[in-house]
Amino acid sequence: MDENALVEACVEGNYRAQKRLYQLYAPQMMGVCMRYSSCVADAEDILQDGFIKIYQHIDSYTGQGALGGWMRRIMINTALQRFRENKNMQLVRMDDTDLHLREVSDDVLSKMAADELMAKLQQLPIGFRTVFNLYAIEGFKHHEIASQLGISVGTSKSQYSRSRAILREMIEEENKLSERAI
Amino acid sequence: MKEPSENSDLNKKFENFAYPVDDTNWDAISMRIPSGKGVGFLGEKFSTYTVSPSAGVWRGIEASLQPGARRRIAAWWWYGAAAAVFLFGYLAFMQIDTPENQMQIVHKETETSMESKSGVGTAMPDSGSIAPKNNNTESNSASAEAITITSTVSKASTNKTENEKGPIKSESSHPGNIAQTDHITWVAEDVRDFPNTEKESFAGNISKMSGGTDRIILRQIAGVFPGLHLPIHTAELAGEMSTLHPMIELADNKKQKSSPFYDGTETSSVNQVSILAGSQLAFAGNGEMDMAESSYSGISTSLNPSEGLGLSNSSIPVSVNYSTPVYYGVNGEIKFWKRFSGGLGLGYLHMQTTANFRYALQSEVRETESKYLSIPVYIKFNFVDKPKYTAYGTAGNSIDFLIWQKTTETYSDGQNTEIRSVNNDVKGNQANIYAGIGTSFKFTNHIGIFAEGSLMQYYSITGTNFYSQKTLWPGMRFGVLVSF
Repeated sequence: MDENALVEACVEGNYRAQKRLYQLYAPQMMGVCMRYSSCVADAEDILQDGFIKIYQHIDSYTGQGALGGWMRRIMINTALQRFRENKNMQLVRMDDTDLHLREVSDDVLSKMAADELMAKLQQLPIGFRTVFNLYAIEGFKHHEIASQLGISVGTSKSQYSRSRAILREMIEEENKLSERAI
Repeated sequence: MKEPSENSDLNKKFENFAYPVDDTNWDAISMRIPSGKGVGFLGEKFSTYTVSPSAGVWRGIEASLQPGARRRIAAWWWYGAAAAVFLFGYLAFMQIDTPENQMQIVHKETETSMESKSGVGTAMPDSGSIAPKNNNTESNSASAEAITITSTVSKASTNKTENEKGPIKSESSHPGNIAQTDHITWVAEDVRDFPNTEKESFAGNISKMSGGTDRIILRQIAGVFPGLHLPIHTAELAGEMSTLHPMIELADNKKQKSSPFYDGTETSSVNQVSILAGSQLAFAGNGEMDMAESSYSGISTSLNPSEGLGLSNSSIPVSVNYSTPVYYGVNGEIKFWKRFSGGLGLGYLHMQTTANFRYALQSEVRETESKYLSIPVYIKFNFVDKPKYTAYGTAGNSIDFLIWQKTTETYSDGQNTEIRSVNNDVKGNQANIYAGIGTSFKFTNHIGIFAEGSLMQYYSITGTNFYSQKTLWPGMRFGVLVSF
């Protein structure tokens, strides 16, 4: 049975189909949730909330585009909703000087393994991490990020710039430790 | 041949012409490009990144789904359990309700007391019918029946009226059970008519009551049981017992001796305390973990998720191997009522799974090893209950408390292998209900062995647990028993 049949069964409230959908997509979605969380427990909370939304609104999936992509958007929105609801996660606009920080290059980031990069992303403050995720991985524009998070475009840009600088610091620090070990 | 037009030269002029555009144009265009689809410069890197969530996540989701769907699944277990209990009870009842068992049960447990005031006339059979009954009661040597009467019961009186029966009280029977009352009366008189030597044999059972009357406790009386359906309703009919009892016993003996379980001994009837030390093996095998269950054949008949929806990069385990769970423990068991025993145990349970994951560029083997402190509680019914041999059915519940867990992940891409231990997927406590059929054999009065086949249905009590992926386990227990 293809995706459409699976979705139809889920729309009808078929328990086994719902579980099957979860089994098929949970690992992939968990990977998304991990990028917006600092620990597994938080990621699982997002995953759980996200799947509940998916089951509640699966009838709105029209079949256009991949089901996985549609589910991923819901997961991201769920993560961003948690971000907005948490008052302790407000972003702070950086000075313009932050835009001239020594950022890690795209090449360095591209060469890193996903696991390695994920480990570093999870060490970023949540605001930096969220903007970095949305821009560098999801491919959102800064004005879209600003709209999603309720911040200005400038803040989004500065957060992104700052996150890259922190990543560079982390990588350099790690390299120093490796050299000392040798 | 056609001549090139004059415009050709003009085209060459503009061939390398470029008009500079600024970023605002691109911004306007890029705003119309759908975004947020993992198209960032790192998007591709994470497109294959997957992490297996713990089983507790699904439980949380499941709880929020429409309850009806879940109940349909759970209800079957309740129906099944109810049917099993009903069937078990029915079989137990049928086993108990046979005449031979009633005789045994009556002898074991029932205590009936009867008090009669001095001078009250009671129905008595004639003396001639008593003698053979006396022999009959002696044959039931293992009886635990106790009847208390006063030693001043009057001599035989065949004129029985309701008023005469009034003072007679039987604790174990319902009021108005004439058969029983008559029988008790008959036995009471029977004792009175014993020869002196036989009366002396009851000496240990005769005690002086505070009211100045003697209390005689008889331990060799048969038939004082409402369900026995002895055809004695009047004093006159009571005399028929003289022939009825030997017939029943002959039938009992014949049946018992023809049984394949007959070992030359009477049915075990004494209460006993046992200690069972042994091991349990649940039959292991291959399976699909929770994440790869494919029981919904209407969606996908393939166990391999990569074939279902083209998810070649999924981290859903391709296969899961369960090593044989091993349980070592000690149970204390007491026979508390008739053929029923109850037990409580303490044991150590070791379990392990090996799950194989397949990613796009590498494979993963995840070994999870868990150790539990297990506390089983159970009841047991001996449908064959001999001193040396028993066959029984048992049912109970067991709770396993996690005391240790280790998860080792081994990644391999064909060239390099990386091994690491993780602690982020700790399993919780678990519980199971189980039912089984077993047998025991005693070499001596105190030492024996037992073996039991059982079926365990695990359920979660603290979110995720080892058995959340595979809940129904057949198993086998065996070990040594020591009885006291």
